[in-house]
This record gives sequence, C-alpha cells and structure tokens, in this order.
Amino acid sequence: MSRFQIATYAQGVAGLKDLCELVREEPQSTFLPYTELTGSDLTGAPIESGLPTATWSWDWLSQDDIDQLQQYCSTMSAQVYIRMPTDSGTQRKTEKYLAVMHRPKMGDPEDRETGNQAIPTARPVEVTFTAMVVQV
Amino acid sequence: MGAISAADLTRLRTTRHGTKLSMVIYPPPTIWSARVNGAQDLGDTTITVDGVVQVRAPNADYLVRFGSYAGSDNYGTARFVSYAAPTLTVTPHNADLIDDLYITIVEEVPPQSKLVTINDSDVVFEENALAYVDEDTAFPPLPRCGTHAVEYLDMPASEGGLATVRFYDHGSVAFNGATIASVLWSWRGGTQTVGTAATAGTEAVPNEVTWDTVGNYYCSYTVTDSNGKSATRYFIVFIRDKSITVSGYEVFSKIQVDQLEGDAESGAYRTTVSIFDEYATETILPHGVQCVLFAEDWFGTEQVSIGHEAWRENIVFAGYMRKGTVKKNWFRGTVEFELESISGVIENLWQIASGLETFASGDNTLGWHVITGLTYNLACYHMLVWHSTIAKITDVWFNLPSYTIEYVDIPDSSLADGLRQAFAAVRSRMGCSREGTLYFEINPQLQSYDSRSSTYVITTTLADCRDDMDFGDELCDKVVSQIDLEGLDANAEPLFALAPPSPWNSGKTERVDGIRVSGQLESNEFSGLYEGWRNNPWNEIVIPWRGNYRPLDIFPAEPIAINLTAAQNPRGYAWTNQRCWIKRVTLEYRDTVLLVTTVVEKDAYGPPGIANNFPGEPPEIPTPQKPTNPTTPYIPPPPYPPPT
Repeated sequence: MSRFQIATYAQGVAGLKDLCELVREEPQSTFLPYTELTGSDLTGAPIESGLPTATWSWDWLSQDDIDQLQQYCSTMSAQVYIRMPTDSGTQRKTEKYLAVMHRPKMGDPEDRETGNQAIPTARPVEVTFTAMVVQV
Repeated sequence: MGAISAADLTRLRTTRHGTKLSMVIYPPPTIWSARVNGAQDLGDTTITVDGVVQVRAPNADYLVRFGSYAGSDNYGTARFVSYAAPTLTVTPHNADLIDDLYITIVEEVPPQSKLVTINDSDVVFEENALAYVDEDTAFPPLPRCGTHAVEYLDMPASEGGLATVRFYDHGSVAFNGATIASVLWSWRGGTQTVGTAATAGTEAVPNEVTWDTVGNYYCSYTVTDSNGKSATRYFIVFIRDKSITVSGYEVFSKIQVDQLEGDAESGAYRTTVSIFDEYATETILPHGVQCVLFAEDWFGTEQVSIGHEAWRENIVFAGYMRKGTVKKNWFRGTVEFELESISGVIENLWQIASGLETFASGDNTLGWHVITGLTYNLACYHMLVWHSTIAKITDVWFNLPSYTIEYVDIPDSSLADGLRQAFAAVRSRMGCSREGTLYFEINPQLQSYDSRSSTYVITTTLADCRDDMDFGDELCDKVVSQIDLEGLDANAEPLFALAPPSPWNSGKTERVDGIRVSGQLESNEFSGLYEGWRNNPWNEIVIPWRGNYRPLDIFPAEPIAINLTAAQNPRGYAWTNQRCWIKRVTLEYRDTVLLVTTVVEKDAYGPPGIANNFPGEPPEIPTPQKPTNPTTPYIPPPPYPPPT
C-alpha cells in the first residue's frame, strides 16, 4: 500500500486509491499540524492555530498525470479524503484525513524524458490541502 | 452562560484547535398564494381573492407580498391576519390592489413594526383594529426557546441519515401573577424521540427531535398562561447533508467573514460576508434574508463546540442581511453583503408616537395606553410585543431595575430609540448576544457595587492571550471633575447629588438628569457610581485571546477576571482576579482559524456623593430696568411723509 492515497468525498475513506496508480511517483510532502502561528502566550510559548495543512509537490508530472489529479479537484477547491505521512522522522506515521484540496498549481511546461520516452508537456506541480480533519 | 467549564478551559488553553465556519440562509418558502379578485380599494385590508393555492395554512404575522408576478412584492407587503374564503385579511399596507394582482404568503414572521392607531373618538387600537380587552393587567406570556438550530445528517440521506436536535424552554415567563399553564412545540416534519410536543424540556433533559430530510423547518413554540393568553415564538431548524448540495438548501462553506464585531454601546453585531462558493449568486440571496453562521470545531481530534448557548454551541451568529447591501464582486468572483443582528434591524423599524401610563395616574379610562403597575420592564415588553413582531422571532430578557413609573412617552422614532427613551432613566442598555437573544439590562458599571456579579465567565491565566494585553492610554487626569446628578423619586421629585463632594481639579462638570432613584441615598450612590465609571482610567483594555473563545459576548453582561503580574505587561500592572466588563467582541475568521478579541473595561467604583442643595435651575437674573433718566436727549423722529 502506498503511503499516499486519495479519494473523492463521494467515494469516502473506503475508496482511497494509491497515488502511484494515478501519477508516475509519490510526491514530496510537507505536513503542518496547524494553519498558522497566531502569536505567543504570556509565557512566551507559540500558539498554533487552525486545522492541519499539507502540500504534495512533484518536480514534474505529465499532462496525463495532471489530468488524473484534476479529477479530484476540477474547480477552485473540493473535499477529498487523503492518506499521507505526518512525521518526518524515521518512522513516518500515516494518517487519513478529510481535507479541502485546492486546484493544483502548475509551473511552466518543459520537455522531459523518462527512460526512452519523451514527455513533451511536463510541469512542476504542487497541491495544497487545508482544513484537514483526521479520520479515526 | 455562566462560567466556562473546567474541561472547556483545558481544551481552549492546551489543545490546538481549528474551525470550519459556514453559513446557511432562510429564503422563506411560499406556503399560500392567490390572485386579487376584482379591483379593491388602495390599501384595503380585507381583500377578495380567488385561485388560492395552499401548501400550509399561514399563521398570524406571516409576510404577505403583493406583486405583478408570483412571489413578487413590487406592490408592497403586509402581514397575514386571517383567511375565510373568499376574504383575506391583512395588516395595513399601501398596495394598489388591482384585479389579478398576485398575493404570496411566505413562511416567515418578518421583523416589523406594528402601528398604533387612534379613531375619531380617541380610542386606541393596536395594529389598526385590535381592540383592547383586558391587556392592562392580563399580559400575554413571553415564550423563550433559544436560537435557530443547524445540524447535519449523521450519514447521507440516501443511506438513512438522521439529524438529532435538542430543544428546551429557555425560561418562558407569565406576568402579573399568572403562571405558564401549557406549552406546545411544532416540529414541522421532525419526529420527537424524547419528550412530547407538550413537554417544555430543560437544559439537562431536553426534548429530542430527529429529521431525515434536508430542509429549512420553520418551527414554533407556543406558551399559554393561566389567564388563557398565549404567545408563539418561531425558530428555524436547518438540516443539511454533507454529501450533497441540495438546491435551495445550500451550505456556504467557502466564505470570508470580515471582523464580526459587536459593541455593548450600540448593542448590535455587524459584519461583511463574502461567499466564494460557485453556486452563490446575488439572486439566491433575497434582501433581508435570515442568515446563520455556524461552526464545526475540532480540538485535536475531538469534534466539539464551545459556545454561548446550551445545545447550540455551534451557532456563531444569527442575524439578517442588511437590505440593499448584496452585490457581486466581479473581480474577486464573490457575492458580498452585510449582516447585522436583530438589535441592528430594529434601528430601522419605525413607530409613531404614543404613550403608556399606569392606571392610577390616568383618567380612569382603560385602554391600550394603560398598564397597571407600569414598570420600565413592562414598558419595553409592551413596545416589543404590541408594537413589533420582535418577541415572536427572538428570545427577549427584561432585566431592568424594577421601579414603578407613572407614565412613559414613546417618541415618533425608530423602535430602538423608543426603547432607549423608555429605559434611559434606569441606567440601562439594550443589545443582542451573537445568537440573537435580546437583552434589556442595567449597565453593570452603574449597578450598586454589592450587587455586581462575581461569577466570572473566565478567570485568566498566562495561557489565555495570544499577545500582550493592550491597556491603551491610561487616563491620567479626570475626565469629569464632578457629577451633578438629578435623581427623580417615585413622585418625580428631584433629589440632587454631587460626586465627589469637592470637584477634582481637572475635567469638567457633567450633568446627569432624570435618573430614577428610590431616595436621596440612592441618588448619592448613583452620582458616585457615575463619577467612578466616567473617570475609569482603564476603559479600553484590548485582550487578544489565544483562540476560539466564543463564549465571551457583549450581552448579557457577565464579568471576566484578569490575572497578570507586572512582568507580563508593558505597563507593569499587577492584577489578581480583577473584575472587568466586556465592551466589544470581535471575531476574525480566516482559513480554519477563528480568533476572538475583546475590549474590556476595569470594574469601576466611586464612593457615594453628597446631597446637592443647590437649586436645579440657575437663579433668575432680574431684567434690567429701563433707565428713567436717559443720558441721551430725546430726539423726535422725522415727520412722515417727509416735507417736500
């Protein structure tokens, strides 16, 4: 099972699908257990506020890969279920979340090659997830 | 509300939390329609109709629209009174009722004024034609049942999902010795699983009702007292399904809420909302529509809301769109509009001048203008119940001082101004909680010191702020050198008081007139309280709370206790359980962060003043006498016409 999975809201947790089946490789990911630092309390401790946020990014994906991702979010944003690693240590724990997926951000297209195959319209891609609610 | 529980304080202080804020609206559905049958006179309140289509029978005060096409109101509006085929009776209006005009009745009691009329014989009628019976002593009860409810089905409707909502009587009251004899809930499609429709319910054991279908349910709670008088409160239950968006029952979840701010002085909350949802258009947001902002809150992995009202903790704000403010922002792709609480709405409800008097002081003619044992509370009650629809659509609490009064003059002004004039003499104020409950209460800073509450909503620790408290610019000099108070006793006799006895050497003298007191001692006491309050050096303390401290509200007045050492604030103040009162509350929402900021004022006190034996009016200055021996010699005027 891949560490990264995704499903539409309608498919539910049971519909989580390995990301490797959709795109060429797993993304680089970041995970923050909060949305923003809103200040420090009177002891000086920082205050983390809001629900967890995450990003998935790829150096490049083909247009076919991007099309696959956009099936999960064709508008400004959409609710999806995801599974992803939440720690950066050696034992990378994964959790399932209900999250708001934002429309994938894409960089400029560039020609790529993988093996003997030319990928004419590859682009760097980043997907942001917000309002993540852990599914237990 | 009372104190935030220890468990909730732990959540707020130690658990990372986030909120999803969403909005639902109530465009009232059409439940009855007809066409005008033959031309009627302009403004007729009894209208002959045909082509009646009834979904449900309308109730009194439901909104009636007159228009050139179905559902429209381009000819005006009224409120429903009764229907007996073929005659529809409505409240006064100015519509020109031409033949075949469309009449639409929607399922909503709108926030409106009811106008007093006086006939040629000087007999007063409420609402044009409502005759007085015994309302000088037998006042209808006041039902209270809490704010609207918003609940999601626990699973998709297609899979048999249910939404459970809990209800209880929030303290309905009967007057003048009467008692509540019976209650009746109407759930409009809900199935009661705990209690019955005749069970009032309590906060600890509420009625439980389930719904299995997405919708907006206009429910009611009717209370009948031992005099046989009854009154009905309406509220909305919004049921939604997370898995689908049903047209007409949308949840707007892609919203931006600019600062939702309420201040105790105006008594109202106001904000601007931007909707980013693709299906939001200006046309699905009718003018003046009721809106509810609600939250899904997570503390860590626990979904729980900490709010202001029991069983409605997820309700963040209930109010109305300000008419005429909805607009499309083409550049941002949003629909934007302003929201305000019911206390803001009543600023724009007009009423004509009238008056109330207690029976003993009148001309012994009973009528609508008479309230036996008139008090400030009863005067405000009368204005809300008989001169407006407000008590039908929100809970109202009358906690004004209990003095009796001889008469109240109600000015030709807005309902809000009329109410303010009615209670101006008792150091009081009026305003809403965020959920829309309306309170009339004494200004806590002008309340006798010993009777002020020490039940703190929160007693602060170092963990409660997300930044330093801002103490503002401390008043180093007195603003008021002396309060010159004119109290009035039960016989309207003036009782003057000065506080402090010797004026401070800065500030200026301030006169406070017409304050109701029980005697000279109270007049002295209040002059001191006014002086202490007006010269309070800490009257704008900004507290940025660390998170979603939603239980803090401007109404009802509930104190908080502040603890801090000199090292924890730039001004070096050391306070232990210092009682403070909330003046303003601001909620900011961005992404999943809901932050609360309050402005509070330190509890103020001034020692009692002394009786002022000076006359209330300045001494009369004698008119200078015409000098008997003018120094200028008399010169006669020239003849007219002048000689040629």
